[in-house]
Amino acid sequence: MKHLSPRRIFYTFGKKYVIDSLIFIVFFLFFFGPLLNTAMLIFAERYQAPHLLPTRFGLQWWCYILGQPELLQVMLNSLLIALIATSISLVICLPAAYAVARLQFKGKSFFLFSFLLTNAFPKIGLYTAIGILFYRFHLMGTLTGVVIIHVLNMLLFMIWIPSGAFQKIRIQQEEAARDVGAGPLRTFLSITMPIALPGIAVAAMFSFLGSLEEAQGTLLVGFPEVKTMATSMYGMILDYPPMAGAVFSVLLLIPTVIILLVCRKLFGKGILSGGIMM
Amino acid sequence: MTEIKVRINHISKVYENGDGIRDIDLEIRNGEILTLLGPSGCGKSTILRCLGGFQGVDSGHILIDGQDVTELPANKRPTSMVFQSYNLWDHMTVYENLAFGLKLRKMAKSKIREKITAMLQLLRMPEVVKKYPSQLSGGQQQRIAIGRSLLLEPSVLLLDEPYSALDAKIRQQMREELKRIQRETGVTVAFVTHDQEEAMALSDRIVVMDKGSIAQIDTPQNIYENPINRYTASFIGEMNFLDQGLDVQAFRPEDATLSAEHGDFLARIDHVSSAGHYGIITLTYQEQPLKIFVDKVALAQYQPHQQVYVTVNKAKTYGAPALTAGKSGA
Repeated sequence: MKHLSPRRIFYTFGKKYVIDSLIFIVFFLFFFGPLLNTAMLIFAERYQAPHLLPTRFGLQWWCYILGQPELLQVMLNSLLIALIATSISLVICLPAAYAVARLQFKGKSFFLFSFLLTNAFPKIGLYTAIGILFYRFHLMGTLTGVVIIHVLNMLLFMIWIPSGAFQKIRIQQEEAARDVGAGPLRTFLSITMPIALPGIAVAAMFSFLGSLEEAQGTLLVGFPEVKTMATSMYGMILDYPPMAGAVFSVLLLIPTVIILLVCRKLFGKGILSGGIMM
Repeated sequence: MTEIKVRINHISKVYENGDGIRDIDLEIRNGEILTLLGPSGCGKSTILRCLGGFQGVDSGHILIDGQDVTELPANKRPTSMVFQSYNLWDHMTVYENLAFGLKLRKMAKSKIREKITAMLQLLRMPEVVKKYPSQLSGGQQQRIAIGRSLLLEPSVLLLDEPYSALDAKIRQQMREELKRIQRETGVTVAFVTHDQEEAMALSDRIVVMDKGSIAQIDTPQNIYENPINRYTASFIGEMNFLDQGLDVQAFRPEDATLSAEHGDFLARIDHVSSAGHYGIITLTYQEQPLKIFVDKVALAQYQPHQQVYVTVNKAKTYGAPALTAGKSGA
């Protein structure tokens, strides 16, 4: 036992090593503690206050959640909305990102800053204001209304990250394409886009994942007609024990993990770090 | 050699900050290497960018093969440009880089393959065909860029300081290489550089630029022997200037001799050094610095602080510039 005394360990490994290890353990628990808790909860059947661990394990809550008739529809809704919103924001934001990266125009810094501004306000206030407009245009409770909300949330990422990627492309590379005979559009599609693709992919991926978990705006604008996984989660947490919420959140995690894996496979391991270098 | 490939008629392009080119009149002959030479900001690159269609002109016309191209965008011009760097597209292999322009011209695949193989043969680097630009050295990338331009058989090949990002030794090889490729293809080349040595080594004719205007156009030899004014004289090669009241006498370091006994005037030696195959001696005469090249055998007989006679064998005389006229010691 004497080899395990803290004093001995401290002086054997050195001060720096011990402190680094402690910091690492704290961070590890901070990030993975909730996940470990979730992992425990999804297999619990009975879990009540005085007990530290669940008193009965089983798959009861899985059966309950998977038995919900709405589950598949809600999942499909989520994916569909995320897909439409991401596609629309790609079409809107890429030209804007290119303009921000390449052109000098009046009010450019204000334009960029305005995206931060909308993100600085409490979202709920914004949604309420938008809701008033949506009532007038009969967009409340419609898919279109929900998609518009999601696209608005994507603007910041979808303009800032791709414009950083466009800025990295040397003007000579575009000029060289013009020089060998490519018109402006061909140059953009064959040269600019492919070189900026990692950045664009990262932005699209973040936007897609953000859309999957967006609940606040969807709830306000879409309820009760449009239901997504994220909005159903609210009801789940409020009405059922934590085990149901845990199971549901793991189900929510599945598309996210799949998308991350697919992106890694498609664009290589460097994408997550390389794509957002500004 | 007298056939005119490019005619630049009185073009002007002045930027907001006052830089640019004014009333440039220039002809490029078929099959020659013409160099635009000058310090940065003299407008040499602007001329090239106007030729390539990357820069509009305020006034004047550009004719290539007798056709007015002044209003055409870069992709419709019969020119091809190689930039200082970042010419190649990182996401394409060397082959795809070379093929891009040919594909746009709807050339058959087999024909493209054939032409690219021949071009890589000409560039003497057939082994890089499947590599990506980031796997090549800077010099190799520039050679591929030149090859890509040549594949399109341009009327004029425009080179905008293509070697200035490379180190000195590679630069020298690249010059030789360019001359060889130009000999074998007979392409007309307009070359921009700020390096007078590079201009001397490459060119059939040199255009010396000064603040947006042409100072002198001639063969390297003629510009070296007969610089038209003090600016060209100071820019091309090394030149001593002796202020003589109203005029300035200019002579090359190799056009004067030293002697202990007799000569035109007496000067004091400041510094003696060897450049390998010849010696360099710097002197002071009437508070003006001079530089003279001497034979390496004769170098040993000179020491600093020694008084020696200088004989100028060949000199040119220019009007003294107003600024330094007041300083004349005589």
